[in-house]
Amino acid sequence: MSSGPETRKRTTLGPELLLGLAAVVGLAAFGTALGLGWKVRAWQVFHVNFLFWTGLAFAGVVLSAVLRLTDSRWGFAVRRLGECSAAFLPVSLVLYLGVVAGHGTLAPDVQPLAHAKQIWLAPAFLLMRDGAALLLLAALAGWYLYFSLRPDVGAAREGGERTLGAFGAWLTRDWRGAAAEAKRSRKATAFLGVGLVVAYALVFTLLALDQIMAFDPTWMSTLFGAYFFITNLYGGWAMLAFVAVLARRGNLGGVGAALDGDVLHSLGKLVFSFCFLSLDFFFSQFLVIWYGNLPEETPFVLRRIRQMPWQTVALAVLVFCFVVPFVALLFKSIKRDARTLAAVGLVALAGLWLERFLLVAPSTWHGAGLPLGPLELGVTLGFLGLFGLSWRFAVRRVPLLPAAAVTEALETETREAEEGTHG
Amino acid sequence: MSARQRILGVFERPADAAAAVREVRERGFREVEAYSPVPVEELIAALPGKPPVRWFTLLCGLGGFVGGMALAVLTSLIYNLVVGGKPPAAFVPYLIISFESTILLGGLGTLVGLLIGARLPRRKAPPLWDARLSEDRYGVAVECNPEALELLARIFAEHGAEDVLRA
Repeated sequence: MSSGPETRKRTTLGPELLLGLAAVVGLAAFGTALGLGWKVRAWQVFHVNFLFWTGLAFAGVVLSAVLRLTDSRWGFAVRRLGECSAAFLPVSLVLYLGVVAGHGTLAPDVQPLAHAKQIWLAPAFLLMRDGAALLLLAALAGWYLYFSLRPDVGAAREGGERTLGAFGAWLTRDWRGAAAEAKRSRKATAFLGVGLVVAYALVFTLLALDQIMAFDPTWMSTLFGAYFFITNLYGGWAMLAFVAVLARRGNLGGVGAALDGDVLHSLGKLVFSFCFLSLDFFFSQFLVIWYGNLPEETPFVLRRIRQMPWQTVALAVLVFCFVVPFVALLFKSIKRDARTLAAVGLVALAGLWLERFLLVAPSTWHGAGLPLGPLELGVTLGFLGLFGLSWRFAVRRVPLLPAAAVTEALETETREAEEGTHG
Repeated sequence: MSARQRILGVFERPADAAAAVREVRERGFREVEAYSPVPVEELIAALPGKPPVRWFTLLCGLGGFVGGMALAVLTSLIYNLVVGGKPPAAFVPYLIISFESTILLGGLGTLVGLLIGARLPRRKAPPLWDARLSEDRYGVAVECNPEALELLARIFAEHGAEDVLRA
């Protein structure tokens, strides 16, 4: 039928239009807030969204590296979906300029602080080192992705497809054949993956200290950096569970059949375990502050869990981030069902967004009431639109499943290695 | 009425054993047992009913939480242990002992549930027991009337049993 391709085109472009609209709404909301003089609210929610969505973009690549390093057999269909979140990284690096612009509005005056803190928290030094750290981590992620993508894109181009156009031609220059490239990719991603995971932990610790803790410069916690990057990985697994269901439903890149109940079950187990791990990191920190009861440590926590209006948000975080995912994912049937798993992933992501809001806003907002309304929703929609557009841009262009020649070469290598070991 | 008899199929692959269990049950046989050296989900799913182990784990875990909390709270109240100006019965640190006792009793409960569910230890091995079933083979045993033995042997053979033993 002649209307077939047109219908398909309309269907596949629908999400792009919606996401584009969301991005426009976000820009309009942010512009309106600045126009009305609501500088703190505008930059504050921009900051929260930057931390949340940039975190998810990096988490997607880091979790791909984790799946490779652990040699996960089930994760091959999920890995590339996570890697596609890296398409947001160039956008995120541009948005970092917004963080730089908003720093003067959100950050406290460093003059009354101790001399060493004045130097460390001086705006120019802080923003430059964080920008450089993000740039380096993004470059490392790009290097890792180069070796991850190269064999699959090359094999597809070898088969006559024009995958990724001119970029694909650059990516696969000096092509050595699928088998040799697959082996090279395995070695390189194993090496770079370790570096990426370690660098991720270091950079996100730095971000936690500079972009959250520094807004309340008299407060300190040595576990805060680890808490930040672990909860970010929790968000990464929840995102992967959600996008895996989306990809399966739309059979994106022919990945539908590979994302069966067993894969969803494994993703559900990882969301569950990182939910519990995040709670553990929170509790480890909370217990020490509770026991120590020191005047420089307790106000940060008390303001968030005992004082209104933040107490309500803290309760919502507890329910969305921990209670609902924990109880729901105890059940095997919920983990294996696409719709319920996606719903739990969304609840966890919403909870994690609120948690980031709760970490930042009480330190930067000194007005009355809870600064959470249509403005915050609008800006968040804008970031969602940009992230979604970037992700879909990548997902529609790169091969989502490993090429048959690549898989075969790696299986042969594994078999030979096992035979060598046993022999 | 003729005496009940027992037949055992020995399989190399767990999927074959599970398929045999499914067919035997579809044919109306109720007294079916499976033996495996390791837990195999497919085989467990093919058998009738769900193993009771999860209930032992849940109830013992909850009991461990309540018991651990009660131990910490009551000890503090009886001896009036005031530490660092905190109330004697403080919920926050007692979560740790409660968590630990949840894991301890949950783990022990799982072990007890496993032993009860698997009817272990047994003084005598079940009829037709084969040592291979503790190594690398999977067994399906059925209690049946003598006239059904041939049918069962055929079903086992069709599903790739490498050995069929009869009592």
